[in-house]
Amino acid sequence: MGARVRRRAPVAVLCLVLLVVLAAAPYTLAVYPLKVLTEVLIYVIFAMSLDLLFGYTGLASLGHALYFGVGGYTAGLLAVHYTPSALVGLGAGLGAGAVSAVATGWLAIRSRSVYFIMLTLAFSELAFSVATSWRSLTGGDQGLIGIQPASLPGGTRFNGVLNLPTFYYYVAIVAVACYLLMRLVVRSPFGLSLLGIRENEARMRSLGYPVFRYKLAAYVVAGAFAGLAGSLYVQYSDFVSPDYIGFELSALVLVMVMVGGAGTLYGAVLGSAFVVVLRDELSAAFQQWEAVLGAVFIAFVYFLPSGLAGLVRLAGGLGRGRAGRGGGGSTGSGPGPAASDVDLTATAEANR
Amino acid sequence: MGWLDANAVTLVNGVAEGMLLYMMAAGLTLIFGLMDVLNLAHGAFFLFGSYLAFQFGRHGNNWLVAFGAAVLVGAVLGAILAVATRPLAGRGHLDQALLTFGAAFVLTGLASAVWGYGFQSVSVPSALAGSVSVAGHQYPTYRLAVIVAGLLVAVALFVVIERTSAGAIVRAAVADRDILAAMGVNVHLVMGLIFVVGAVVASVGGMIGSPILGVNTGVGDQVLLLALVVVTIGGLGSLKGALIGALLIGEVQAIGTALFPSFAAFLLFGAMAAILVVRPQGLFGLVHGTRT
Amino acid sequence: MSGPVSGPVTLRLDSLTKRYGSVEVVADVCLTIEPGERRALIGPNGAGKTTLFSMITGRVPASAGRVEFNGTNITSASEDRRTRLGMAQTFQRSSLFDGLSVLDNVLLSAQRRASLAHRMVRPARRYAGVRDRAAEVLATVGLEHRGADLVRGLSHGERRQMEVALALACDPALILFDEPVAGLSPAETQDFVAMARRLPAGITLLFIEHDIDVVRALASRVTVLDAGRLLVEGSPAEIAEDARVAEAYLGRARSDDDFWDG
Repeated sequence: MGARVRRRAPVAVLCLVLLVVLAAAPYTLAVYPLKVLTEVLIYVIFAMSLDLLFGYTGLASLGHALYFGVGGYTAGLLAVHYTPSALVGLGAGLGAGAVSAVATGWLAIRSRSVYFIMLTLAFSELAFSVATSWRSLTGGDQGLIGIQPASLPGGTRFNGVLNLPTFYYYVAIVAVACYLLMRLVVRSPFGLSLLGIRENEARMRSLGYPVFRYKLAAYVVAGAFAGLAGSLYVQYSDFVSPDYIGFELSALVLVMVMVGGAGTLYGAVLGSAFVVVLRDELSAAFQQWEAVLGAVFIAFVYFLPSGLAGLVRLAGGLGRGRAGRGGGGSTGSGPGPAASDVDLTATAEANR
Repeated sequence: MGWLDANAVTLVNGVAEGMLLYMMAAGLTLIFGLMDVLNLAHGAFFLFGSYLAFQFGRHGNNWLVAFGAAVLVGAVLGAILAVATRPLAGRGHLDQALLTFGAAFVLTGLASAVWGYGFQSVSVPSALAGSVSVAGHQYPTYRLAVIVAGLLVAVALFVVIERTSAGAIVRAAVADRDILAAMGVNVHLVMGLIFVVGAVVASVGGMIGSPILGVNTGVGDQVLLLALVVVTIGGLGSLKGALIGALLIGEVQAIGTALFPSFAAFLLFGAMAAILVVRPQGLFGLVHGTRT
Repeated sequence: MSGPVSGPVTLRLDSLTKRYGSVEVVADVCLTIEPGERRALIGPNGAGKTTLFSMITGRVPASAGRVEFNGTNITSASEDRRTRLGMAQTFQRSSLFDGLSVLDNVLLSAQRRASLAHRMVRPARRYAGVRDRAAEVLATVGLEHRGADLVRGLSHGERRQMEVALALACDPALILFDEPVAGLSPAETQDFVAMARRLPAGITLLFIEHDIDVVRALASRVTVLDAGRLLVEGSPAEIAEDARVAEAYLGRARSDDDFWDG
């Protein structure tokens, strides 16, 4: 017990500090950095939702933006035609993400590995072409126009500049709530079942798990959070276009998860912050910024295979997150007692 | 017959596009089947081929130089990537995909640093300009030449893989990767060679395709996406599947673009989704794609 | 927790057959196993023992015939449903959750048995019943001190113990062991035999084994399979005397099959 408290104390302090920093941001940051931070927080939700699927369940999707975009269009259309209420948009985005994930996941989950990746890509590309060609509904590739500024609880309106701090708090509260919810999910028996599927799907079946249902449930939960993130993003930008569904966004969020360290929620947080900021800074500084970004990805694969989360574990005994690296096992082999002692007591502790 | 007759030129265009796709897909599918690497940098090989055509072939008289340069650059890039992915053998698909994704960014950036971001066009070599009249239709000579070139590549790859001892190693390795462990040292050489051959074929494909597709930094990604669809439909690791998938997608693209322009993408991905839902391992996919 | 369920027969195989093309790997096998029985399945390599197991557990579909478990026809039931009906298995090549801790591995099995695996709110380790059951199972197989370690770091012998732990945590009525002591040291083999003998009498065991001492120590009856067909069935003593069995093994004359050297 004492040991556990001691190990947990620094983490608790860190979390508190982070919350204070988040709360103080509108007083300490200028308008532009605050906008970037708001955007990062929305991407955090999106990346965590993919991490649930990829890092925890082992299902790598290259079409996750589909649910982000569907949530975004749903919130956008509601705001154009019915109500600017932010919370209604949020709920509708969540629901739309979940419903579209049921429909597509039910088909996609039948295939595996690269075929699964390609099928998720196919569905998002299909949705992309629907969004592009159904002009009367979506505005085509020009995007949806006429989205009313989101009306926040309490009645304040956000239109990109006006009331940015209020909108920021709204996003921050939603993001923290999403993090806590997903943390509950990954530590629950269901979350452990997902890890089991990632590690050894065949054995899960022989233990009596109806694996398909668990995968579908993970897919739908991930789709719901992605839809919620999409609706938030539309409220943030007052705009939605087919790019919100497209391949590039799907690839970007997958990179966020991998760079952050798949299989740890805080990795998804770090990854989205890192990639968004890096992209903004690089594109401002270099014309060939994509080449630099590519080189950074390559460096991650070689030198930091467990992502920023691995770096954090290495640096600070933060060693939480029983989930190691997603996907095909690491090269670390053999019953080296030293390795397992250090890494794994933390692993076992993480869930209590 | 009436419809076929009316759309004969479109159908031939579809075959030509299919052949270009095949030249991308052949390398992709072999590299995946053999090394388990989903090479997202494959589009960059194609991209470099098309820029080399622009560099050397734009005046219509240096096509041999362009061809030589495409072979050379493709071989070098392929060898570099083969070496770069070796340390990752045994890591997940996604790690390798991220690596090749990064490499694609770097190579595309390199190309745009050399040749800029603009859209370029390359004219057809003068010997192949104009058109040929067959059974009452005018077909562009160049597209017919592309079809012939694609067929030559397909036949050559088929002979090498099906009829030579190096090909036998490749086939055995694609069918059962575990067998690699039991097969001695030159396996790595064969795998490297396949990577190089795949890259060269893609780069030559880019060179040949440049007068049809145009040249700009986006062309690599565009073709890569289509080629991924092709190899998925055909089944990863299957050359036959790549050829049939390429012809199918080439036709879907050509007919879709000509007749239902706003639904072309829909047709394309709809076809892939439908095939995968019915056959989760592709048309000619081997079971190892679904191994547990 | 769950003893033998109603009905006098735990497992009944009726003309079970597996064909790959024109090759019959398992042909026309009929078998009846009673509750609490400890049945050994032996036979030379390639006799079809593992294929027969796979048809019983549902990993491989039968080409013909019928499998009945506790009176239920499960011939076309999925593998996971068979486990939920009370069947469990261990694998010849251990198949575990390498990236998870020993405790989490067993929790996965125990939480499914407790029908809690879909719960999404409370942490997995806060379910005291599941946790206690997992600890109990780990103690049974002798891994109670390894709970926090990653399965990836376990020795071969410990991995075999984990296989057994995962099966036991299912609280099965029937366990199928596929060569449970393969590759174990003599001492580890002794540990396994002692553990298996301590299992509640209500659990039915069916095991493939090459080690004659293990068969003698555990089996109440022995079934011999040869070339996919059921050759003979009897008590361990009867089988040891049977000329056909000796011929089946000697006929193949490959020393690694030599059952009677064990």
